[in-house]
Amino acid sequence: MNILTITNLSKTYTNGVKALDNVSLNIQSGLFGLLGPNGAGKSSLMRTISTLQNPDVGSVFLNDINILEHPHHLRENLGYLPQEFGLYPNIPAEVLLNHFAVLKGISNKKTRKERVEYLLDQTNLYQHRKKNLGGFSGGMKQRFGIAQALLTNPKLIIVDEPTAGLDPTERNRFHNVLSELGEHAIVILSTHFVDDVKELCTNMAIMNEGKVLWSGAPEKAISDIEGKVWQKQISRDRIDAYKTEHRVIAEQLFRGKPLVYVYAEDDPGAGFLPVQTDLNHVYFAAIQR
Amino acid sequence: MFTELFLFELKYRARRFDTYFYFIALFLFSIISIDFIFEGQLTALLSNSPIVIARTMGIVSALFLMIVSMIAGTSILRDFIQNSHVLLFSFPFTKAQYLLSRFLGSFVIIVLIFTAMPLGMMLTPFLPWHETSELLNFHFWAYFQPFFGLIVPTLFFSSALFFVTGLITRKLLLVYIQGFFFLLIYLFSLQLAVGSEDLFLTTLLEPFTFQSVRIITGGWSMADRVSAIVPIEGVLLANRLLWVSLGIITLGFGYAQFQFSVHSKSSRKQKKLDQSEEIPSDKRVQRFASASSNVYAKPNGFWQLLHHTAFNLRLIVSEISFWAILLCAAGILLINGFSLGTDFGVDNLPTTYLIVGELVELTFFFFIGIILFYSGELMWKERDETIHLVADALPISNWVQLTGKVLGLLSLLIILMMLMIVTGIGFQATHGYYDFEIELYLLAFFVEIFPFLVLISVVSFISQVLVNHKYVAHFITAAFLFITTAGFAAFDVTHDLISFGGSVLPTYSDMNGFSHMMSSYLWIKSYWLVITFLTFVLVIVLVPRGSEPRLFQRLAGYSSNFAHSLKVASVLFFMGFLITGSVIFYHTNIASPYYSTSEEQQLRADYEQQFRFIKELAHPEMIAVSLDMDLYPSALSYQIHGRYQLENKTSKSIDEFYLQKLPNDAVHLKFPIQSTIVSIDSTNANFGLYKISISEPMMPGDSLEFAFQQNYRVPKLSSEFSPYLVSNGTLIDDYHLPSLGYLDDIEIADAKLRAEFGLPAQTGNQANDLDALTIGKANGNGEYIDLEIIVSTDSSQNAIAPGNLIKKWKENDRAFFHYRTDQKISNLFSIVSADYELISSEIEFQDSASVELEIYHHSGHEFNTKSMMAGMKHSLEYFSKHFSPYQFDHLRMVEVPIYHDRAQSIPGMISMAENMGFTLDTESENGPDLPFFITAHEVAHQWWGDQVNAADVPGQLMIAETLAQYSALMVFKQRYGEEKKNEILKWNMRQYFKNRMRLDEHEAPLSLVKSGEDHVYYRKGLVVMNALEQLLSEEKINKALTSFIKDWNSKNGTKHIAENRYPTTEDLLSYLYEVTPASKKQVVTELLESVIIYDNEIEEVKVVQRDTGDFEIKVKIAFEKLEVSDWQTEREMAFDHPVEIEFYSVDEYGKLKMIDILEIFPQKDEESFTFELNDKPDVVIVDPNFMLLDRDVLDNRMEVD
Repeated sequence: MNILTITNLSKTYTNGVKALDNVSLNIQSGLFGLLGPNGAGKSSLMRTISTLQNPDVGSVFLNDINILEHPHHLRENLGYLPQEFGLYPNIPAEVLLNHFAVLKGISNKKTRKERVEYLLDQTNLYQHRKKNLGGFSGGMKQRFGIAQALLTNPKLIIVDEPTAGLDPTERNRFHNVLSELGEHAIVILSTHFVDDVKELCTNMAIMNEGKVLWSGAPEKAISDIEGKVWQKQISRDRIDAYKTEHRVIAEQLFRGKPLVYVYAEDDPGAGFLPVQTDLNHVYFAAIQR
Repeated sequence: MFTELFLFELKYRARRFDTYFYFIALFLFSIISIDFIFEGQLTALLSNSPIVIARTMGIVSALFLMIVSMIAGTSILRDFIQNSHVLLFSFPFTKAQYLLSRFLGSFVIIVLIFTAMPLGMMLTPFLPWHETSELLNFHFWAYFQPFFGLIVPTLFFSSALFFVTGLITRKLLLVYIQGFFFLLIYLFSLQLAVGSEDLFLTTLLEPFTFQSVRIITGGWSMADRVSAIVPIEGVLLANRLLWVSLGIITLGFGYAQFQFSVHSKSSRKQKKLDQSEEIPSDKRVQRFASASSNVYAKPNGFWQLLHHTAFNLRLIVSEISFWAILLCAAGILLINGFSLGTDFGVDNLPTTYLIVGELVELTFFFFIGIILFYSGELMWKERDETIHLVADALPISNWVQLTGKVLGLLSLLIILMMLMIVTGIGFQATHGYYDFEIELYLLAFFVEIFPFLVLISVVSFISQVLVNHKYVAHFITAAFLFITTAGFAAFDVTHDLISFGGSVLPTYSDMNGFSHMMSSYLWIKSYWLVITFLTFVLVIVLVPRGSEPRLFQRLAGYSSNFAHSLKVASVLFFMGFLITGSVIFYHTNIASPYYSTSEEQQLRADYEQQFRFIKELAHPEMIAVSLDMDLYPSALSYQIHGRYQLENKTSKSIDEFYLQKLPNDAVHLKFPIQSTIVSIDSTNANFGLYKISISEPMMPGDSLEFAFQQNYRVPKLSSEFSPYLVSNGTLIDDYHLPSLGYLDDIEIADAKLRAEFGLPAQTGNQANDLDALTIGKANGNGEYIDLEIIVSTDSSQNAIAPGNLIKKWKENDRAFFHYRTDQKISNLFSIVSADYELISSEIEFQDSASVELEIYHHSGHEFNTKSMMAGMKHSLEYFSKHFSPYQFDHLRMVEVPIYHDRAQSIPGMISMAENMGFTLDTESENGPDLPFFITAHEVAHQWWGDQVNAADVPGQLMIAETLAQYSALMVFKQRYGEEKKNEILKWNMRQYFKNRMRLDEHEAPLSLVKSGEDHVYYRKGLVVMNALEQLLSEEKINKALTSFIKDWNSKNGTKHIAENRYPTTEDLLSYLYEVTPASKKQVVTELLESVIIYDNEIEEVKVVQRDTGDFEIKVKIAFEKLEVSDWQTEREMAFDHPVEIEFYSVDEYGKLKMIDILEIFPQKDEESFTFELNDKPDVVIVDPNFMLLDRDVLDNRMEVD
C-alpha cells in the first residue's frame, strides 16, 4: 500500500496568480480523481507532485520519503502524462519508448524489450511501432503517452486530463487501462469531466482557485448532498432574481428554457422539485460555494 | 486594407524585443567591423575609404543574413505557428494584400535594422586606435550610397527568398537553416574570385558585391581607390538589377504557390495514417506476457549516457535540415574543389596535410555553424516538441541529460570529420596520389582541430543553459568566441592562458611532423578543456528542468541540487585547472620572461633610441669565422664554440666595439677569458648588447681573434614557435650568431607604429650614400669571410654547411662533419641538419673542371628531384658559359621544413623549403616546370649575390633578384621553349598587377627598387628583362652582364678594387645601355627607370575572305599608356613605339600555330587596323611576347568567330 501525503502546499506564480493555496491531501493506492474547472490549480498540483516545479511552502511525501528533498526518488517511481505534450516527429514509436525505458533505468535488454513490446501492445500501438511519431493521431499520441508512463510499473501515476480530445471509444479503452493500474498503484487523474471520476475513481478531490474544496470518496460526496439539491424551470428574465434568493449551483437549458439547480438543506418551496443527486451536483455545489 | 495590414506588421515588429536586439547587435558589430575584416590588410586604403566601407557592408550583410531570415521568414509562418491563420483567412482581404503587406512590412523593418550598419560604421573613425586626422573627412554618401545601392538590393532578394520559403514550406526550421545556406554562399563567393581567370562573371553574379567591388576597383588609380565612391553602373548595376529581379521572380513564384486556405499539404498527408490506424481489438492476440513485477533496476549511468548520446545524435541526423546542410557543404566542397594553388602559378601535390588544410579551411565556419545551431536545437528539442515535461520527470540526472546532448553533438562532429577524411582520400586517389597517411589525417582532425571544436561545443551549451533563449544564446556564444580571441588580441591580450583556446599548432611539415610544439599545444588545450569542463560541471545544476525555467528559479535550488558526484568532478577539474595553469604559467612567464606585443615593441623602440649612436662608431669586421657546433636536434638544444677573426678596415683606431646577441632570451652568450679583451660590459645584456674593450687598440689593418660560446635550448611550453632548431630539419644561419655593432633589424619597421613611439621615419640608405656603397648584404659584419665549421649532430642526421667537406666521422653515437672553405665566401651561411636521402651527380665542364651536385631531400619527397638536378646542371652550364665560371667544385641543394617557406642561396649551397619545389605538382596540369625554374633562379644567385654583391642602396635587389630571374628565364627558355616561357611571363605579369594594388607608397622604378617591393624586383623585373631580351637580344644582354661581372666581381673585379665599393644599378645600367642602339634607348629607359603601365585591349576582330582567296582582317584596338608619376597619379602618354600583333590558327588538336606577326604604330586611343593574310586566323593577340606591362593581359587576345 502506497500513500502520498500532501501537506499545506502553496504556490504563487511570478505573475501573481495563486495557483495552490494551502493544499493538503492524503492519497492511497487506487484511482484518485482531481476535479475542477480550467485554471483550478490541478495541473500545478500535479506538476509539483511530479517534481517539475517547487512549491513556496508545504511538503509532499511518498510513503515516508520527502520528494521535494529527494526528487530523484520520486522520479524513479513515477509515471507522468502531462496535459499537453508532443513527441519527436522523426523518431519511430518503438525507438522512443525504448529510449525512455533506458532513461528510466531498465538496464536489462531482454526485460526492456519485453516491457516495450508489452506496452505497445497494451496501448494498441504494436502495429505502428516502426512508424515515426510525427504521423500519430491525437489518440495514438495519448496512448503512447500512457505507455511511456507505465514503463517501470511505477508506484505513482499522474495523468493530467488524459481524455481531453479523445473520442468515446478511445476514452473507454483508456479508462479500462487506468482502472487496471489502480489496483497496484496510486493513480492521480485530473479532469474537468465529472463522468471520468464517476466511472473510475475510488477517491476524489474537487479544486477551484488553488484550493481543495472537498475530498473523499465519490459515494460519500453524493450521500452528503442527498436531498439537498432542487431544480426548477423558470423564465429567462427571472434568473438573476433566483440567484439572489437561492444558492444556485448550476443552470442549464431544457427545451430552450432555463432550468436552475439550487442547494438547500430543506425544501426551498416555490415550485422547486427534489433531484436525484449525482456527482455533477456535488461538483457544482462545491465550486459554487 | 493594405495600409492597415502594412502598419499592423510594422507595429508588430516595433513591439518586439528581438527587433531592437538585432539592431543593437548589428550596430555594435558594425562599429568594429572594418577593423575586424580588414585588419592589417588595408595598406594604402583608409578605414573610411568608400571602397572599404562598401566591401565591409557587403561582408557584414552576408554574415548577418540570419536576421533577414528571422524576420522575413517568419512573417507569414508565425500565423501558422500560432494558428491565427484560421481566423485571418476569414477576414475580408485578398491574398495579394495579405502577402504584399506582410512582405513590405518585414522588408521595411529589415532595411531599418540594417541601417545600423552605416550608422555603426560612421563611428569607426572615433575608435581610440584611429587618428581622425589621418582619415578622410566624413562623407555621408560614402555610407549611404553603398547602403542603398548595394545592400538594399541584397536585402530585397534575401527577404524575398526567405519570405517565400517560409510561405511555402511552413517550416520554421527550414527558415532558420537558410542562414546556413547563405553562409555557404558567402564562403562560395569568397572562393569565386580565386583561381578564376575571367572575373567578369564573378562580378556579375556575386550576390553580396564585396568581391565585385574589389574586382571593379582593382584597376583604379591609388587616389581613386582611397577616396572615390564606387559608382553603381555597368556590371555592378547589372549585378544589382539581376538580384532584384530574381527577388521579384521569387515573390511571384511564392504568390502563385501560396494557398490562401487553412490546409497545407502536410496536414492532408497526416490524415492517411489516421485512417489506417485501427485494428479491431478483438482481433488482437495477447502476444506478450505482462511483466508486472517492478522492472525498475539500479540504472547504469554510463550506459544511460551512451544511449542518450546515441539518441541525441539520431535526433540531429533524423532532421531533414541536417541533410540539407550536409548537402550544401558537400556542394561547396565540390564546386570550390581543393585549391592546391601556390604562389608560383602551379599546383602543389595533393599531400595529405595540404588536403586536410583545404578541408578545414572550406568547412571550418560550417563546423562552427553546426555547433552553434545544433547545440541550440538539442538544448531546446524537448521544449520545441513540447515533450519536456515528460523528459524532465524522467529519473535521470541533469548531467546525463546535458552531457548526452553534448556528446551527441560531438559524435556528429566526429562522423563529419570521418566523412571529410574519406573525401580527402578520395580526392587524393582521383589525382593519382596514393600516399594517404591515414595517421596524419587522424592526427590533424582529432588532435589539431577537434579539441577546439569540443571547447566551442561545451561553451555553446553552457551559454544555452545560462541564457535559456535559443537565439540570444547563439549570439552570445558567437560574441564570446569573438571577444575572447580576436577582441582580446586587439587589446594586445594574447597570452595562451587568457586568449580562449590558446594557440594553434604550427603548420605540419612532412620533415618535422607537428614539431616540438605538440607538447605545449596539448598542455594548453588541456588547460582550456579543464577550465571549460569545470564551468560545464558548475552549470549542470542550472539545466532548465520542469515548468519553471527562469535563471533565478534555477539558482534558488543551486546548492541543494549540487550532487556529490558533481562536487567531486568540480574539485578534480579545479585541481586540473590549477595544475595545468601553473605549469604553463611557470614555463611561459617565470622560467623565461613573457613579453606582450606592446612590451616587445617598447623594447625595440628603446633599443633604437638608446643605441642607434653605435651605428656611427667604428667597428671591426669579420674576415674569418670558425665554429665548433654541437647540435642536439632531438633534445632541442645546441652549443656553439665560435671564433671570429676581426679586422679593422676603417681608418680609425678601435679600442672598444659592441657585440649584439640574437635578441632571444633563451640564447645564452658567454665569453671565455681572452688575453686580448680587457673587459666586457654587459649592462645592456637585456637588449643582448655587450660592449667589448680591447687591451691594445686595433689600428687600421690590425686583426684580432675573438672567442665566444653560445648555448640555446628551446623553451618548454612556450607558445612561440621558433622554426630554426627543430627535431628534423634544423636550420641555423649566420643571423643566429653574435653580430658586430648595432642591429638594424631590431628596429620597428611599421611606419605607423614608429610614429606612435615617437621614432623618426625610416628612410633607408639613399642611392648616393657613399658609406652605403661600401656595404653589401652582410650589413657591415664583413662581406667576405673564410669559414670553418665542425658540426656534430644526432647520428641519424646529416649536417650540411658551406665549404668543402674535409672529413666526416662518427663518435659516441654522434655524427661529425668538418667543412672548410677554400676561398673567401659571402658572409651568408647556414648549417642544416636532418635525416636525409641523398642524390648525387656530377657535371664536367669543357675545361675539365668538374662540379659535384648533391640533393639532400626528405625521404618521400623525390617527385621533382629530377627537375631540380636538371635545373642545377643546365644553369651551371649556361651561366658558366655566358656569364663567368662557377666558383666552387660543389653545389648542394638541401631541403628544409615548410616553415621557412622560401629558397635561399648561400655560397655553394641552396636551402629550399619543402613546399618550394619538392611538393609542387609538375605533371598533372602540364604547367611550367617550376622546380626547374626555382632551382635555376637560386643557382643564379651564386653569380648575382655571391660573385657580384650589390651595394646596400636602392636597386640592390634588381642586381640580386631581377638578374637571377632573367638568368633563370634564359635557362628555362633554352630547355622548354617560348610557349612555356610565355606561361611564366603571363603569370608574373598578372602577379605584378595584383600585388601592386597593395602598395601604400609610390612604386619605385626597377632601377631604384627598394626591399619589400618584391612585385617589382621579381615580377616586373622578369617581364622587363624579357622585353629587353626581345629588344636587344639574349646575346647582347649576356655580353653586357659578362662585362659587368668582370668589372664588379666582389672579390677580384677590377672596378670593385679600383673604386673600393660595391656596384649599384647605375653601374649595371651603363653596361646595358652600352649594348642598346640609339633607336631603342628610350624604350629601354622607360622599362628600367620609370613606372609605365599599359592597358591595351582588342575590341573587335572582323575577318572577310576576299575573292582572291586571301583574308582581310580588321582589328579594333584600344590603347592606353600611363606613366605613374607618384602613387596617386597616373598620366596618359602617347605611344612612340610599335606594338606587336600576332595571328594564329588553331589546328585540330587545339594547338596554336603562328600565321604571322606584324608591328603596328598606335596613333590614337582607339584605332582600327586592316591586315591581309593568306590563312584565316582563329586567334589574334596584341603584344604576344609580353613586351608591355599590361594591366589586363587577358583582353589582349581575341578568338575569331
